[in-house]
Amino acid sequence: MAPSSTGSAGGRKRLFAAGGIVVAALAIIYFAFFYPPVSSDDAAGTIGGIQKAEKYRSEQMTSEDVNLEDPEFQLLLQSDQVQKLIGDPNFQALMQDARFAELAKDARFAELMQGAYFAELMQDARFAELAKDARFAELAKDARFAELAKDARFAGLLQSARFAELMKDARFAELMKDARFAELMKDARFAELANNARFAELAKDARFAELAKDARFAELMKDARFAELMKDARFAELAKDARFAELAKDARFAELAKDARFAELVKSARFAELMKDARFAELMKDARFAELANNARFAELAKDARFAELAKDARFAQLLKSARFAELAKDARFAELMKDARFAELAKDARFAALMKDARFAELAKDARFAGLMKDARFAELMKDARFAELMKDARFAELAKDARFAGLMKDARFAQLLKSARFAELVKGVNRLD
Amino acid sequence: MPLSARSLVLAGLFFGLSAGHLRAQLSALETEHLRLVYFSKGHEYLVPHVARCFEIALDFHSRLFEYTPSEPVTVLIQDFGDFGNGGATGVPRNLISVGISPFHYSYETMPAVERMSWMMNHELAHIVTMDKPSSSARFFRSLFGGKIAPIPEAPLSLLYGYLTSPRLYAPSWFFEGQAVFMETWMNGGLGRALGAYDEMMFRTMVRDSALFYDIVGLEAEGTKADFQVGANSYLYGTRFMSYLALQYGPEKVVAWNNHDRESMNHFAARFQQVFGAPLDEEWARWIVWEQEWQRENLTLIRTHPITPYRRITQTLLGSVSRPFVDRKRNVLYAAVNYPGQVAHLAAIDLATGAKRRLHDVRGGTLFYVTSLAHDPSTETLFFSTDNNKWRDLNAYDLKTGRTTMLLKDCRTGDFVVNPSDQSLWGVRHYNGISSLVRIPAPYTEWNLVYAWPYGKDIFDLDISPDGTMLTAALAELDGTQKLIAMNTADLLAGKTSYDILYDFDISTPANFVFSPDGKHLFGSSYYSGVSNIVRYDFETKEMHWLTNCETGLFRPTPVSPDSILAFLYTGQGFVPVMIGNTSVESVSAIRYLGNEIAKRHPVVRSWHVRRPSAANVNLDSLITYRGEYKTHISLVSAYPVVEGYKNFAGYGMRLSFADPLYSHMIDLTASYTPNAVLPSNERVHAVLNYRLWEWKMTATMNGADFYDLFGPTKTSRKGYSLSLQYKDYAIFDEPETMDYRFTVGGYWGLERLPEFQNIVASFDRFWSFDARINYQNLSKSLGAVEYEKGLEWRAATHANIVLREVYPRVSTNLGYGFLLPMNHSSLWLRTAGGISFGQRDNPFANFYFGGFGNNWVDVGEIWRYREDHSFPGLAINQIGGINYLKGMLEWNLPPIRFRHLGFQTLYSNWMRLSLFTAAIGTNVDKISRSTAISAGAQLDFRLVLFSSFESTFSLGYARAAEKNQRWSDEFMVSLKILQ
Repeated sequence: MAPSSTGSAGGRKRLFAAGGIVVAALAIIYFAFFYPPVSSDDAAGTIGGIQKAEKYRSEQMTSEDVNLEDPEFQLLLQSDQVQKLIGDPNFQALMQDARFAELAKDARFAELMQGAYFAELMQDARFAELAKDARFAELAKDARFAELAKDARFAGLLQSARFAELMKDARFAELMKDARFAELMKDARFAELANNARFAELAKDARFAELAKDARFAELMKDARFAELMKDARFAELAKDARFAELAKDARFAELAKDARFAELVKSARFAELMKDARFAELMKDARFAELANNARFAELAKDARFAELAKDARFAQLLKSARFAELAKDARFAELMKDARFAELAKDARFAALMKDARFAELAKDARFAGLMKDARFAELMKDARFAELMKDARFAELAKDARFAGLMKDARFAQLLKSARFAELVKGVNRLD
Repeated sequence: MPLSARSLVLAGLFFGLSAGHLRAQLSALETEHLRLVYFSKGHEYLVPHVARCFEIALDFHSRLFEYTPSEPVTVLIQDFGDFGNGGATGVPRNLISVGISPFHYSYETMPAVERMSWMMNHELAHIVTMDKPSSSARFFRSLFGGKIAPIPEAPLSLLYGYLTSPRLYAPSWFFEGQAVFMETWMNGGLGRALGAYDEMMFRTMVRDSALFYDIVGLEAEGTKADFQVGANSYLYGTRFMSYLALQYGPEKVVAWNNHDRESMNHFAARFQQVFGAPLDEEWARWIVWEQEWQRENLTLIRTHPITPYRRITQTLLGSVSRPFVDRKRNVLYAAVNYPGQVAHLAAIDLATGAKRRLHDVRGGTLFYVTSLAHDPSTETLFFSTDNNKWRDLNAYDLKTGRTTMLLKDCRTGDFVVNPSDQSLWGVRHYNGISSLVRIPAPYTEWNLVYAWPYGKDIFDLDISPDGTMLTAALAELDGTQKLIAMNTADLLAGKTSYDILYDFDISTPANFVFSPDGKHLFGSSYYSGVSNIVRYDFETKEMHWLTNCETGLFRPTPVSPDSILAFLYTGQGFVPVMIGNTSVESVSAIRYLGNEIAKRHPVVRSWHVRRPSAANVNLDSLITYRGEYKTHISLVSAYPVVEGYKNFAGYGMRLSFADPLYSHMIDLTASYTPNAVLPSNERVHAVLNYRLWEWKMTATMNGADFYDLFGPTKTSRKGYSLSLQYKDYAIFDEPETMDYRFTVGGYWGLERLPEFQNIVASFDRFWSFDARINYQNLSKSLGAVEYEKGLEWRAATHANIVLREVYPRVSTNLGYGFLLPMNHSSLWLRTAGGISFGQRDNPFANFYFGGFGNNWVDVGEIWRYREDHSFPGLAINQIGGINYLKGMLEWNLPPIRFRHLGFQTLYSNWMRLSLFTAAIGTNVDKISRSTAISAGAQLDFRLVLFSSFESTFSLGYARAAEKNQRWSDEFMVSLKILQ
């Protein structure tokens, strides 16, 4: 039997039928499991088998659409330190003070507040007290003081107890006002002499003090021949001899007088007078005087009119007797300072004198922080500012300054920003009126 | 944001502001339609943004409603509470109050969207409703000089108020539904009309075949007795509006709220006009539709197996806080808040389900109650109080039961204990900013860790068991929310970067807490539209769903490796249940009604307002003024009045003037009695009240009063008076307040004593001085009709100066009440005493007592029988004396709420019976001593007039007798208009 068309047609039918079944099966499978097709949106709407609810939402605003006024200020306000501060009655009162408000805007104040010293120092009761002192306030404005305060020597000296004591001494204070003393202080020779132990000893001697007042002695001291004579060992020896005084009256003394110099000297009425002076006689016996007389510096100084003048001054005499002065005189720093014109100027200032006597200042002067602050140019500048001066006197500020939180805040640059803000000032003023 | 801002309430708010010493600090920014007022420089940063949001929102409302404000809208931004809020009124003035704090997102009852824009969108919708006039209203406003606010002093204002602002006479659900509907679409879909909580509530009602309130029942019972109280106005109102929008189109919802030339005034009449059907019928149709909608949603949920659970207790807890499990005691701690008892900390035995009350939570709030934390090492519960205001931190010692307040007004919540050092971490809200703070032991101060920029908000904190990691939910400005983690040591070092554990898009990552081993976090999410419990795995960084729930599951706490405690939402509140710690494979999403609206009515998509950027709003060009707020007053309204003078009626006018914030007010009422019987010198009457912040001056000339037309109690007096009063607060920390006031007054031409109507004045001219202190610390539970517990104390000194003789007297009273185990039932003991230093036979030197004191139509206190001079059962002023002692025991029974007693314009909410007994002795130290006893009852019905104005109808009976005298009876009937 040849393949019939019917047989081929039947095979094609079967093929088509099978194909149709397959297609149908695929379609069923597709529509059952894969239709409708999953869009990317829908795929995103499930986590595993957890279906996300469809919830309409259109595009929302962003932070760029929200324009706030000074949002940084608001964030600063959130600080607990700031919150406590603005709740502090002292701070509230202070912020209502226009002067503080102005000062708070001052960059120098801000910098000072952020500095290492001021914040800590403000917690010190002594500084707080001192800051209230009008004299300190006045002085602090003084450029000379400001300059001096920067001086390391002064700073070092301030830490000296002896200097502190001396500063309290009224006589020294008086003397400090004296222009002659000032001049003398500048003199290198005096500085050297002041270092001299023998001079120190002699300076204590009452006789020397008396003689030093004597105009004739002063004149004689200026005389070069007498100065030469003083160097003469023979004369020095002789001077020790009690009999020399007698001898001075003795004709034999005339022999000595053959000495040209002596001859010259003897011609001097002044010398003659002096020879009669018992005190001079006493002094001649004193070995120390003899030694000193040999001292070139002393000789030089003795010629100095200023020294002569000063030597007459009772206060100077007293001072020279002072052990403290003696000690201090050895101190190179003191010597340096004494030469300093600014110190000299300042020494004339009653306020400075008062300050030097102030125990609190004395105490504080030992404090390294204070020393640091005194050197700080910003502090110096600010102290000239009346507002700052007022602030230093303000009891509320003083109270506040004791608060470690305030101190901490003062160091924070951002708080400095806040203080400058008028808005912050207004805010603080308003705080105490809210229940 | 409840529309608590009926004109009187808002006026009270702003007047209360005046008592808070704000007068010298108010600043304002003004544009043509805006007066933005703020009192703190700390809020100033928000001012431009709020102004722009206002202008954008107003522009939208103006176009949609064809609306132009009748006067500038005063917007006060304030920071009186730790969570955001807002209120608005358009009567008599356009006023909006905005609390700038971030919102609370508990259970997603609030969307995390940019809140200033949101609040302007919402609150201006209220202004439009109340301010846009119909044709007739426009006429009456011009006649009366403005919009008239109904006030109890002049009840005819109820009528005039309707004539000038008819839409004011609508229930809360109407206002809130409209505003929430609008806010959602103006926010681009981020609003409560597309909210998961709403869906959950109605889905649960359908599942449980719970009652759907009708229009009357919703306001009568639904907003009072349900644990969600006033929130039901929002929920039902929004749902109904959304239903209407879906069925009939959003344009019709807008039209309902709008006025045009032909629009009916009353909101219900307007509804019929727009929708062609009575309101209550459509409401019923909505209920049917809602039930079908929710059945479909339930079917979707049930596509996959529902997670089984086991209830721990049958007690309904209402709102709940974050819970903690005390493994040592096998107890669950949580704060709860449900109707009938004040919010409190509770301990629930996990084995027996028994609940024990630990301590009241003062100022417990709706939904989340308080911020609660537990330190097992010290056995301490930390919790916040004053949660609706500035929160305080407190500690409850579980060993001793003692509570200590640690930080007052710290404004912090979301507490979590760091187990490594016992420090508390929390989120502080201040000036609208969210800050992460740390409170180290002994919890005497907080330290800032990080302040988030405005618009970012963190909440739901937790710390890992080893103290190294802090997790939180972070909400962004655009409404998206993420679960984030931060290293605690880094935070303390000032490094504030965070890792995003999971991005939940616009769904809230709620209440995520660590497992005891620190390897997982358990939380909840509405990802599928239903709140289910999820578990985050730190190792795989995957989120697994653990439940498929029909209603909603929240606040998971792992109890053991295979068990988790969670809270299940029910129609009566949340209940603790135990579920398994196993993943589910599939959860079907539900459909949101709001989403259907967006699909079927794309017009709502076009309602998304423009962004309030500087590019879109050139604020500088709009500003007309910026500087100190000006307290200039202007005419608010002028309308005719009727007053009673003795037994006659007088006719006149009442004029009111005020500044926009009601800090400065003048009210003048003048009338004339056209009756020849009355002497001519008594026919003209005038009362002038002038208020400026804490000061009030009152002048009267033959003072008359509307309520003298009704009943035995008369306040009208012949003669002249002038008084000056200063009132302020020594304590203002609600619910605790202490106010004091001083009043100096002069009286001329008197016949009767000003205080005692039946006592003839022995001299017609005298001065008086009065000083008093009022202290109260009272609280009430959800759904209460009045305060239910607490302490109140008053002390007063009064002196009359007559013919240079001084008649001083002092008096005091003390009341203490507490809740009985029966919900909403309280017992009060009230005592009073006073002494006068004058002659017994001089009327100026005596106290007088007698009667309930209520008039047939009244304005004074409802429960007048509690007042000093009342003594029910005796005639008014029947007994007197120069000294007295009085005591009263009062039992207030629980109110009976009426689900539907009345109809839309007049119905009763509740009825409440009070029983009392009292005794009094006067001249107690004298032979002329007299004593009396009394017993009685008062039954009160709260009525609601015109859908929104509450009044009280009271019936009273008392029987009293003086010693050795006959018994006398007194019946009292009184209607107090407006509360």
